[in-house]
This record gives sequence, structure tokens and C-alpha cells, in this order.
Amino acid sequence: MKGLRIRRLYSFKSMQFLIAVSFTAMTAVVVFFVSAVLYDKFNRTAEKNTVQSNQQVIYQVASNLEYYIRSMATVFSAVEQKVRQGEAFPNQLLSEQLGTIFSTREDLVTIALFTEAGQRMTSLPSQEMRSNTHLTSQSWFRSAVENPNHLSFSVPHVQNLFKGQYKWVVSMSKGITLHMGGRDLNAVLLVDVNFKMIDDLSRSVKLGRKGYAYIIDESAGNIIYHPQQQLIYAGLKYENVEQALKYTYGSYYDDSTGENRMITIQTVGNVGWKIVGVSYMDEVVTTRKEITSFLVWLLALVMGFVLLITWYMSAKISQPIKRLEKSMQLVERGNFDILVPIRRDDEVGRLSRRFNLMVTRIRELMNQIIHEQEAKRKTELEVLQSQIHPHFLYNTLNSVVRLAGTGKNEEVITMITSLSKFFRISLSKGKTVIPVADEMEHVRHYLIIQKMRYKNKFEYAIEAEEAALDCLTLKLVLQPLVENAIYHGIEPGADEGFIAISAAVVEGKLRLRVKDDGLGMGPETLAGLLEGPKAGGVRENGIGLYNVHERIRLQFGDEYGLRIQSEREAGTTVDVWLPCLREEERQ
Amino acid sequence: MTGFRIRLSAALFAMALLAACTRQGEIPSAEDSQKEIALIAKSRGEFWSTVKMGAEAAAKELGVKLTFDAPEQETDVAGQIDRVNRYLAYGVDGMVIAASDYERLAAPAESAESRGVPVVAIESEIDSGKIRSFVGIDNYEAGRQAARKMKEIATGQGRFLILGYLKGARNTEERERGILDEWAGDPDILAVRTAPCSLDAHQCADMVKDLIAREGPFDGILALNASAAAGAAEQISRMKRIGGIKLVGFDNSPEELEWLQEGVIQATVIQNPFSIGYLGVKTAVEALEHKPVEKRIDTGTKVIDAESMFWSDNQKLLFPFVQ
Repeated sequence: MKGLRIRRLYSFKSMQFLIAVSFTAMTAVVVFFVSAVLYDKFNRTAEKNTVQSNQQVIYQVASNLEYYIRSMATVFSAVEQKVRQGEAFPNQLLSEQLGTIFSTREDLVTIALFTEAGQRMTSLPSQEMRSNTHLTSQSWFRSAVENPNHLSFSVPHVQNLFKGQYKWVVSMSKGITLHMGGRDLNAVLLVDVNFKMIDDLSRSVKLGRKGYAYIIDESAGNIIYHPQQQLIYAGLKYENVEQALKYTYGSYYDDSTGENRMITIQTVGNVGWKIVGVSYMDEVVTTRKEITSFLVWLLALVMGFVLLITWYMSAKISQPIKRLEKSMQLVERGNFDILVPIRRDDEVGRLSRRFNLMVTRIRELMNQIIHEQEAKRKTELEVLQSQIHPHFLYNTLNSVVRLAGTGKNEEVITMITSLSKFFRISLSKGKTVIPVADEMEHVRHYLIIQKMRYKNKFEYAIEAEEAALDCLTLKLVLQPLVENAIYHGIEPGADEGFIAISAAVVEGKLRLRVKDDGLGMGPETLAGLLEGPKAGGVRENGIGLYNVHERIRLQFGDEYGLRIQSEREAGTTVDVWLPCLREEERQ
Repeated sequence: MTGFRIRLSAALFAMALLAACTRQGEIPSAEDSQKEIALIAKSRGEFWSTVKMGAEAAAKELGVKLTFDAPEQETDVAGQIDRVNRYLAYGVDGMVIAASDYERLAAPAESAESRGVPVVAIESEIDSGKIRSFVGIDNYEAGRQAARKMKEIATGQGRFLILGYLKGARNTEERERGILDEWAGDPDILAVRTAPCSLDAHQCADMVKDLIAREGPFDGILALNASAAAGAAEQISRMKRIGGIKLVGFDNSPEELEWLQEGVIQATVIQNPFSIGYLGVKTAVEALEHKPVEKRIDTGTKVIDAESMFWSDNQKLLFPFVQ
């Protein structure tokens, strides 16, 4: 039983299931759609933000670097100015002035002046020079000689001029013309800078956890500076410089190193360097994964919540209906004594109220039917009882005895035969409905008996249309009417009476008529005839007209029954109206 | 009642949402179980500090912790074995060893491997088949290169001294073998003298002085390691025989580079210590992660002379980039 209920609860056809599923599905679609849109939006925003912030960072670094280079150029021009003022070399004052500049900046490695032939004129540090420096063939020297009066920046190289440590530097050099003792002297001014400041700048770049920035030379694509310079130099790391060279500024994606990276380029003015920012897309992807997992969680949560809510709500909706259904099942099984409790005044509540009204009405009708059936049985029983009215039997038998005593054997036989047939039709094997012919026969035997008893006090005639004979009628309808006609119409009168009994089909209905020319009655009597027995006892004339009238109406409805016309001293006509049913129709 | 229930569930839902939101605010912390790699070098000289730089670059890139250690002297084999055992007991996850002795380091390396600690030999091989990988140069081939270069410089003939042979030091043995094999059967190579000297430059210089005093001048000296090269250069410079006695060395210590620029050393066969350090740690980490590693990774050699030493590409190999 419990299993059954559970199965019903989760039945796929139940309304609750339908509501829950459709709501959940709808919510799922909506949430999923919203999530997808959000995800897409987040993604784009994250990517856009990365691009923007990278560009900002790189732009910042570029401007810092530009500033740094400008400041170096300023230092260089300061040095140049001092050198131009120097009259002779070596020069004590000049050395001191340059020494001041040299000592204030920790990123300066060398300040030196050479003749075009590569002869040292002055230098800081003033250490002994190494041999085999190949000074004049070094790139910074050559570019100074080739482009005089133009400050050029070299690619990183090892400074091998002076004894001591070999240092990696970027050389600033310029070919200048000195006026010494009235004649011009072409010289090359060199300022070497180490990578300290550039390194600091580069380290300040934060492009995610793994990202970094490096600097390339625009013309040849040489890497000026890289946070992992040694790896690059050892050939253990590779940067796709060729592609970076194609851009002046902007961002692009690069997977030439096997990892998906976003490259941001910014050109540094006046040195021809480019800053290349590298950030790793898998870090953006990490954000994406976070968003994804967040959205998945959200989706699951919302789904769970919605599922709960819809299950609850659908239960709320469908349970009153289920209760109603259960009540209906009870009604189906015949229990009309139920009342569906009305909890709320909603649709189901109203439906319940209607249902309650309906059940009540059905109960009333049932009761009424029961009542009617009882009444029918009772009236029939009464008729039957009246047939074996002892008085009638007693009188008849008396008459038989009298006739036998007077030796009227013929009449005795007639009487007994009629009595026997009378009773046989009365019983009719328990049937309540019999053909009109039988009913006519029944009343004929009754009249035969009564006529003998009343010594021909009246005459009678029985006639019937052929069509009417096949119709069915309730049995024992005519006999009480004839009895009334005899007792109340004919017998009290002095004259010989006449009773006409006829059966006809009029306007599709069956009409049986009992007409006498007896005393008749007044309208006041007439009016009371068809009303039920008054409280206070059975009327004297027994079951009488009312019984017949009631039986017909119970059987066939209110449009059928008796119609009585009567007039004092003119007689009474009683019409019995019945539906013209035939044997086959009845079945 | 119903309203209350709905409100309760709404509150619960909001709380769950909040919880989901705050989860996002957590800062992803670095891996707690950071692997530790010990790098045991031969000494703390210039060469090894460049190896260390490479190793540190790899450690940073791969997110492992690197511990560098080395005995004071390259000849202190016992000290090195002791260090290997100590780090093993300490519980490092991987080891990178530059063995001072080809045979004596085999046992500690094997015991590390048997404990599931992968060992990668760098620069010098270890006499064991169990270690994962060797990262370094082919010293035999390097010896042949040096011999070829010397023959080229000395115009194909002369008496030569091989300096710096060290018993048990596999690298110098291999280099010497390479040199001798290269010259074997060459009628113009008159005499080859092999002289051992330990890793002290002054000692090597004295030995050169003694040998020249006793046996007459050589046409060229092949110095099998950086100290021997520096010692020989010192002596040649002192004897003012610059260019008279040709000198071909190995490695690129700062002293050697200065002598190279000065023209005392004619050529040097260099290996790439930065790459050795970098690839040593990288290979160890790969072995630790059960990735297949090559049994032998050759980092390559290059012959550098005074003329080519400042070529852009060679600068990058010769001079470690320090800010």
C-alpha cells in the first residue's frame, strides 16, 4: 500500500511531476542561458582587461624607460659639454668634473674619450687598458665614427677595455669634434651603462604570476635585455622576436614557444627599442576556470533550490486535487456521506465546494429514489392486499354459495372461473407491468363477478383499439377505478347503471377510460380525490384512486396519471394516461 | 507557516551564494609540497657559480627549491661523498651531482637511487648505470678538439706538455685520452709529456717552471683544466714567452679570459656551465615527475681563440650575464 503510494507520488503521469519537471527544465534553460551569457561576458571582459592592463603596464614601462634614456642622454650631454670645454688632455679639472658625474650614478660603468684612431684621451675608470681590445672595430665606435654628432646606443656587449671585471654594458657613443689649439680633432665619446636600472624597471613589471617584459632592438631584433638573459644567451630559451618586430605597438597572441601567450608591444622613442610584454594565457584561463566552477556551483545550487521549490509548490497545487480525486473514488464506491474539507478559497477550493454541493444533491436524489421505490413497493403491496380483500372474497364466495343453493350451476361455474382468472391475472407471476389486453381481461372478470353479485344492477361495455391492446400497462389499474364506479357511482343510485371501459392510443399515449353514468360528484370532492392520504388515517375507500395515480406517476413520471371529470347526476369519467410502451420497447 | 518556510529557504540560498562568492576571494597559494633538489658541485669556484646560476634559473622556472653545496676543494672527494649522504639523509627529492671522483661517488649515488631519489650527474660522469642522466660535454671529443687546435696553432709540430692530469678525475682523464688519440701516430708531434698537478694555479705554475728548467722549453702546453691553464699562463707571462709557448686551455674562468685577451692563452675549449646547471636541475625534476629522460645530454663545446672571443655569440657564452 505504501509502495503503491510512493509509486503514485513519483508517477511520471502525475501533475506534480509534470509541474516540477517543466518548471525545473525551464529554470535550467534560463539559468544555463544566463550562465552562458555571463560566462561569455566574463571571458571577454577578462581578456579585454588583460589586454588593457598589459598595455597600460607596458606603456608605463616604456615611458619610464624613455625617461631613463632621456636622463642618460642628459648625462651624456653633460659629459660632452665638460669634454668640449676641456682644453687639453689629460686634464685634471675635467677628470674631477667627470669623476663627480661618475660617482653620482651607480649605473655608469665607463666614461671615456678616444681619438678617431682609438687612442685614449681620458677615461673613467682610469685603469690600464687591456691589449687586444679591437677598439676601433667595436660597433659603438664604428657607429660613432660613421655618424658623427649622433648619439647611438649599442646592443649589450662585454666591455673589454679596462683591466678588472668584464661587464655587460650598453654603450652610448657619439663622434664629436674638439677644437684644440686652433685645430679640429675628431673624437669618440663613450659612456657605458650597466643593466641595473633597466633590470629594476623590468622587475617592476607584473604581468600575472609568470609574465615578464623584455627589450629588443628595433633594427636587428637583438635582445637588449631579458629577465632570463642568460637562458636566452645559452640558447635554452627562445623568444619569437621576428613577429614582435612587425608591431610598433599593440597586442597579439603567440604560441610559438608551445604555450599560449599574449604579447604586448610598445616602442620606446628615440633609441629604437621595443618593450615586449609577455603574459601567459593559462593564467587568464585560470580565472576562466574559476568563473566556470563558480557558475557550475551556482547552476547546481539554483537547480537544487528550484527543484525543492517546484516540488513543494507542485505538491501544494496537486495535493488538494489528489484529495478531491480520493473523495471522488469514495463516491464512486457508493459513499455519499463525505464532505471535502475546503482549506483555501482558490480554484481547487471552489471546485471542492461544487463537488460537495454535487455530492449532497446526489445524496438527496438517492434518498428520494429510495423513498420512491419504497412508496412504490408499498402501493403495490397495498393493491395486492386489496385483491385478496377478505370482504370481496367473502362476498363473492357468499354469492357462490347462494347460487349453488339455488341450483344455478352454470352461474356458479362462471363465477368461480372468473374468480380464478381474476386472481391469476392479479398475480401475473409477480410482474408489475402487463399488456393492456390482460388488464382488460382482468377487469372483465371482475365485472362478471360484480354483475352477478349486484344482480345486474348495471351493464358494462369493454372496447379497445387494436393498437392499444399491445401496449403495456401497470397491472391492477382499472380494477380499483371500476370498483369505485360501482360502489360510489352506481350502487347508491336507484337506476341501472352503465360502465364503459375503453382503451385507445391518443396522441401517442395510451388512454384507458372508465366511464359511468352514476351519481357523479361535486368539484370539492373531485379536488381532494387525487391527493395523498391525509394524516390521521387511511380513507375509507381504501387504496382507491390515489393509489393508482401515485403508482403511475412513480413509474412513468408526473405527466402521466389519472384525469377525472365528474358532474353530479351525470356520471364520472376517469382517464388513465400511460405511455404507450410495447413489449419489445420495454426491453 | 508556508511563508516562513519559503523565507527560510531563501535565506539559506542567499547564504550558500555568499559562501560561493567568498570562495573566489581566496588567494591561490603556492604548492605546499615544493620539491627540493640538492646540487652538489665540486667546489665554489667561478665555473660552479655559473652552474649555480643556471640551476637557479631552472629551479625558479620549474617551481622547485634548490640547495647548492660544494666542498671547499675540488680534490675533497670525501667531503663531497659526505655531503651527498647528508642531503640524502636530510630527505631531498632529487640530486644533481658533479662528481669529483668517477668511481668513489658511484656508491652514494646508487644508494640515493635505491631510495627513490633520482640522481643526475653533471659535468663529470659517475661510474654507475643506475643514475638517470648525465648532463655535460663529451670530454674525450673536447680533448681531440683541443689537440687539433693546438696542432693548428703550433703549425703542426713540436714538443708538448699536457698539464693538469688528475688521477680519478674522469674529465681530465678523458680529455688526455682524446688528446693522445688525436696525436697518436703523428710523426711531427715529437714528444708529449704528461704532468699531473692539483687544482692550485700557483702549484701548476711552479711545475711548469720546474719542467721547463729540467727538460727545456716546450712548443705548447695543453692545460686540462682552468687552474692549470691559469697557472701555465702565469708562468709563461712571467717567463716572457708569450706566443713562444702556445697555450690551449679548457673552460672560461675570468683569469683564463683575461689571459686569452692578453694573448697568453691562444685558445680555450669551453663548455657551457650555465646550460649544464640549468639542464641538470631540469632533468632531475623531469626524472622526479617520472617523465622519460635522456641518458646522456650533451651540452656541446666550442673552441674560442683571442680573435673570436668578442664575437657577439661568443660573448654570450663566455661572460656570465650579471647585472
